[in-house]
Amino acid sequence: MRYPSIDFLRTYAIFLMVLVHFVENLSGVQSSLWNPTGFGAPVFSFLMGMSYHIWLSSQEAKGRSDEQISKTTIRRGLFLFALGFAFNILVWLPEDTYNWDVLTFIGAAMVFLNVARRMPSVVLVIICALVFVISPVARAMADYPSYWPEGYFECDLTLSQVLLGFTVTGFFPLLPWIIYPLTGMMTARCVFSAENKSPTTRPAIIGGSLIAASVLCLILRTHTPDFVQKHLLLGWKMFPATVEYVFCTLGFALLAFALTHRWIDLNPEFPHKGRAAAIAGTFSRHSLSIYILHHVVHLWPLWIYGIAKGQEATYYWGKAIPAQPSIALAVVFIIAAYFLFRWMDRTGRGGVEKWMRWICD
Amino acid sequence: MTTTHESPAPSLPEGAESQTIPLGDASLALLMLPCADRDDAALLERARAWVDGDSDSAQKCLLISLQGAQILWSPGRAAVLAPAERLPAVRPAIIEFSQHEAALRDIEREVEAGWPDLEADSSLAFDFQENALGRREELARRFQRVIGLQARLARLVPQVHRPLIHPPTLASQVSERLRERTRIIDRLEFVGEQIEVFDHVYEMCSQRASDYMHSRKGHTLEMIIIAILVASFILQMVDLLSTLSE
Repeated sequence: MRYPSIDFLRTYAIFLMVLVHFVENLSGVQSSLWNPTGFGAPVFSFLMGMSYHIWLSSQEAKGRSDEQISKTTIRRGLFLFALGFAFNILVWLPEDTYNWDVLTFIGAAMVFLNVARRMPSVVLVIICALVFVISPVARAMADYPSYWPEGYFECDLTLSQVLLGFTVTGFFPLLPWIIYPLTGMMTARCVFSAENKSPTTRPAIIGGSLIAASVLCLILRTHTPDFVQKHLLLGWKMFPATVEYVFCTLGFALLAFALTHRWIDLNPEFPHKGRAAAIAGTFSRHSLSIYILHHVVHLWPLWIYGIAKGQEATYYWGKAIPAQPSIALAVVFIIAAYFLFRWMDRTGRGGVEKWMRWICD
Repeated sequence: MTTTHESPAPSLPEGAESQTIPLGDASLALLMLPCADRDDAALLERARAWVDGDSDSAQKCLLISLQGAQILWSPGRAAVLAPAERLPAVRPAIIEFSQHEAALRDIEREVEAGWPDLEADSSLAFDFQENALGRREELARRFQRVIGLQARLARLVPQVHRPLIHPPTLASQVSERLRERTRIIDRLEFVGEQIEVFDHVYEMCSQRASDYMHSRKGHTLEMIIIAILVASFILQMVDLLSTLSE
């Protein structure tokens, strides 16, 4: 079953991700009001947990056994994990094989969700709380800043540093990013439960409270001791995902889903088969393909241009063109991608999602 | 208990009386036709047409002739053609029987409606999993409904299984004949057996659910302890890996 709210939110995350990546990679412009870095990946990971629960329910309804579900889930997780490595090598070039980007994280998270799906929600809440608490401690123990000397993750190719990257210091390490898919799965359990008469109230309240907690942390930060500012309240940062950042983005994902579910899914007057829902559905169905494709179309030309100019491949990274043309290119890409995916749907050509289902299901 | 209403029984002969008697959730439209001439075929046919009504039911009305009284009965409608002095004797017997039959029919209908649910729930009688937790309330409601059906059946059985009156009266004979013709005793037995199947499945479901909930509490506690241990282990591993990285 498709929920338009999930499609809309995933489309929002995709648009944001494309815009942020184009502007960052081509123009080197970091977060700003019109380029709010840091909301795409959390919403995407949160929705991945929700989608997994919906997929799980559909598999159980079809009468698939627990073992079959586990096998498919693990195969999908490993597929995404391997795809993540292939993506890192081919798109970010071999020196970034172990940068622990979002695809490897989602693959690992899917394998973990296969374990978590058997756990009661109260245990998952405790796991999220533990992850939240130990993440700053683990970052301090691992000396997180030493892996980010130039503003991006770098590690030696030693087993210890690679494993630390995967768990703590990489772009999307398990700590604390695993909180998002777990919360998504718990939210789906709560919202799509048949006996829940007011499904959106609790996520909305929790989401609002988390945002308020984040704002409070940001305000109070300057009044806290240096130790707290150095290790716990680091301010608004995506890398590492700070306490304030996790509170706010998790709260945003919960609140946004609660509101869209209430105003769209549960609203009989909303045109569920209208044009907007169809567009969002198209992007949502091809989210994995668009993630890979948008990197390929803007990074490969950048690498090729660098080599053609006799420089290092990554020479023009972040300084190829000004921000305005980057935004225009992002918009053109989104429009072109929409028509490409419509054509693929019409002609039965599947993207990466179809390959994954073909291999794993 | 009985109330008298006008019932749509067209062109009744003089002295005829039509009543609608509530029988729990159902009702009985009863037409009493004083009739001196036992062979008034036209009147009998009109009464039969009325008792059959315009329902699409395949079951048409039963005709019982006893001691000059002719009784036409179908679920929800009955007509009695008898000399005026015999009508008062037949009336309570028909009402009482109809009450029992309506109660049994009601139970049968509920049992029939429950089969799809039973088939869907039967797997939970063997194994109860986390994903079935949301169905516990539903299962409890169905179990209560089965208990309710058993209770209703248990109350109905002694009323139907009454000893025969000796010497037989017109009322007792009418009652006895109606019971025979509607196979009410057999139906009671069948529905009792069917309810037993429901009871068996839902009792096992409740047992499995209860066992699962009981063990779940223990498992939850164990999982929390394991989660804390894993968190501690992760921190130790991070510490070890950091040391190795230096």
